[in-house]
Amino acid sequence: MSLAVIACFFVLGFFGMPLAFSLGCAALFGLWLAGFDPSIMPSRMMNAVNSFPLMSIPLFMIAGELMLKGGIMDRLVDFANAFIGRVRGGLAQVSIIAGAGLASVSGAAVADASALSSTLVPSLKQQYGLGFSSGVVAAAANLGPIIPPSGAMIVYAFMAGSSVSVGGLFMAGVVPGLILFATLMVLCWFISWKRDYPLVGDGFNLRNALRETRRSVIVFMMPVVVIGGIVVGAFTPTEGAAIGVCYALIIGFFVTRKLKVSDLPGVLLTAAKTTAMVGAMIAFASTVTFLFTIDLLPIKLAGAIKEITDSPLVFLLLVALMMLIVGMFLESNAANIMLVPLFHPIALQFGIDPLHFGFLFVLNLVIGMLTPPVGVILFVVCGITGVKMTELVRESWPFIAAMYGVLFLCMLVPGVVTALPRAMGY
Amino acid sequence: ETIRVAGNFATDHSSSVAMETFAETLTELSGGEFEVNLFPARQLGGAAENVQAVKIGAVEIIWVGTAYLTRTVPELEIVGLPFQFESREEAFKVVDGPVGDALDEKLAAQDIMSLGYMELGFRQMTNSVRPIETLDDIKGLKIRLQPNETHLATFRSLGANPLAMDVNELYSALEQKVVDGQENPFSIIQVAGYPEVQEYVSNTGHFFDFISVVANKAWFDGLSEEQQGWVTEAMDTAVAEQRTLAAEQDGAALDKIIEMGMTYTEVSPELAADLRKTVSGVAAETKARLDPALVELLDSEMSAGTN
Amino acid sequence: MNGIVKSFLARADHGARFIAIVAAAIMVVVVTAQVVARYGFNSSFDWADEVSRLAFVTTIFIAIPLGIRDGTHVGIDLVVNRLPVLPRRLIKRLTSALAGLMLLIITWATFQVAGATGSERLGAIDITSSVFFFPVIAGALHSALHLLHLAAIPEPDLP
Ligand code: NA
Ligand code: NA
Repeated sequence: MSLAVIACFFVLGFFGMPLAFSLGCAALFGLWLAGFDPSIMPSRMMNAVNSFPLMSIPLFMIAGELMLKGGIMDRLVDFANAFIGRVRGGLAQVSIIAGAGLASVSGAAVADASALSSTLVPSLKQQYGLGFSSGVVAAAANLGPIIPPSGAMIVYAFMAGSSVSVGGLFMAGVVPGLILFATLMVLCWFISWKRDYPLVGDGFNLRNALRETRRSVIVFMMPVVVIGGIVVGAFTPTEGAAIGVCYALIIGFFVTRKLKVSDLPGVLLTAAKTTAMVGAMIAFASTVTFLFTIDLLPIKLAGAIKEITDSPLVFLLLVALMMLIVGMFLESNAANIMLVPLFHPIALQFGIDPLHFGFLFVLNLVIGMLTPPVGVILFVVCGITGVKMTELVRESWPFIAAMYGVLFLCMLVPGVVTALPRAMGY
Repeated sequence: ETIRVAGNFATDHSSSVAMETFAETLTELSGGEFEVNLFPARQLGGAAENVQAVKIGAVEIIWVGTAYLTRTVPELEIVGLPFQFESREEAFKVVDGPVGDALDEKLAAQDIMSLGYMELGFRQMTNSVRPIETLDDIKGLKIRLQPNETHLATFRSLGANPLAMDVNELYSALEQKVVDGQENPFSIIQVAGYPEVQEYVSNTGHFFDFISVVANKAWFDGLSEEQQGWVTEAMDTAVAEQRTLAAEQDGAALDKIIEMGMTYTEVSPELAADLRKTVSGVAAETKARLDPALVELLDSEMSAGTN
Repeated sequence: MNGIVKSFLARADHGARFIAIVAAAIMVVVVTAQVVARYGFNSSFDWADEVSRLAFVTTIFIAIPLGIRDGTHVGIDLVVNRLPVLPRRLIKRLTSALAGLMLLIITWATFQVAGATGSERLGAIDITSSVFFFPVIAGALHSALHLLHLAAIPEPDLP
């Protein structure tokens, strides 16, 4: 039955049916095959999203939209500009720094991608052309769920149960996030140098740098409050996301003064629509998960994997390969909901550190957002900048390769991931 | 025929262990006619979802904290009053007797077939602020409770600050001191790892919780009489085993909790009396909401027990 | 006929937008209020957890139909886009019809479940627990109408 469900999903998806609905049709088909009443479906769908921890997804989206409307991006760009000065691919580097800054205040790659592409691409494309500019912001947006806070990590911890804490997973993302950030910077410089993009920007000026730092301190206080609050334990992750919304409101209304009350309905509606896109995937996927469980797929899968290998490293490589394939077809939150219950218990049986596995899993998901044919980030960037999908994919592959490089590093050297959270007592 | 049995307790909880016995016994009794697939540990969703699943026949049998069935059959609250039972023996005598039969009828009216009651256990308080020595020590504590009116009212009358919170969030909420305490049976407290993030534990025993084992009634009615007999016999074996196991684990769990570093404060007779007196109004209020005939039946049972 | 359907869908979209905005706002306000109450007043609301979850479920299901026409719901169109116009249109109509049918079945099934759980009460607020299914019914039906409309009368400006 599981195979029939998977086949049905692939066929419908292949013919262009939105993937959430393809999952729904496949689930209904599976219920019919197994002789179940279709009323299982509404029950699964509603319960799958009726969860307080998952509420962090829309809250982080709202915070992201508010930061965009409130001009927080402009401050981050000015800050990055003041420090980069006159180097090859300067503006691209600025985008990566702004992306990392945004990542430290935002938890959702989709929101980051829309913020970065709508604010940065108009000036980027005058120097590097539309393709490379869009590729840079797509890569920068992917830092969002890796550098804490991270909606994907909250969902992972929720699905994995008590062996993984949100705070621990957040801290696990810090060092790899910084490594990835540095890698992307170097890559931008290298590509700009090879393609001989012109030198632009003003030279470094200490006074200007200090002025911009002072202007953006208020923005960089946000991760201190939100992540600090979650790690120290002042509030739960979902509450942290709500605090992030309030912080963004305060900055937008009183500090940058660019936010208007009339912007709010639009912000909420945009966030609601994106949430609905993610939520539909999660809801429909949950019935498919139910069918897999009933069909004893997790047990069969665990048996099959143990038959193939008893090496944790080979297991991790298998998971990465599987996630590469799954990432072609599924939205990452839906993949999170469907696959964590399958893989997390097997990882524990292989004796892999739960935080190590959790981070690798999230990184795999995040890379999947940037890989065709289904990459949420690709869709968002194409939608906003108007770049052709094929061109964006061509310009993105060096960044995807860089992300896989970091993934393999983290796989081979677990300390990169686990040293910081373990030192902090997680 | 394959029977699907779902639950939300951990795989090594006494109830999950007993359900494995049910699976083996039933396969044996039926000579292989029945095969049982067990889905413990929320594999098919949480408690509320399991209840919906058994109602619509997505699974044939579930085992679930009885509190989750009070949403369907409010009368079940009659066996979930604060400080109602002195001992587990007394508690089981009530649900195995006429009160239990009356409740089974109410369940049957909602298309749910009761197959027996297991022990979840006496609920005990833990917190990270201070040992509970007097009534005043409970005042102002932020305690996570199940979203159940009687439970909330009980703790509010004790002066605590009850909060409803998803159980998935509880561990980290305790760790981060978002809430001060929680209340659960010793075995759950130990298995869930709460001693790692809590300081003080007391044997408040403020509620005795049952686990209901229930089947989809249409499915059960569709079985032949012989098949029904196998299912009931296998489940009786499992329930009996679970009760013994749960009683053993309860005592062992407290030892382990203390070993894990929690400070244990036994409830003094004075405190016990104070607690009962303070919450007596809550029990009366809950009873007033329920079927008077059932309340009368319970009261006569309980007084028969003490005589 | 098409005109009537279009104006009906436009009204339904308008209502759905309004509900989605309000539900999202409730989510932010209630979760924030919970934190403020805990630290500011050392108290909490029993209903906060249930109300915020209900707002979340409402946001998702009510906003699903709004994304159908905008193409917010991601799909793989690399393959279909390579086909000539006629088969592409036909496939688009077929998949829309199929998805619409699926959602109609879900609408009907959700009615059944809401009816079956009608007697359950929520823990902290005394209303039926089937309120959580109301947004599912509304969202599934609204989505089904959009999809069936797309199947019957495809967008003329299909690229
Ligand atoms: Na982030
Ligand atoms: Na992808």
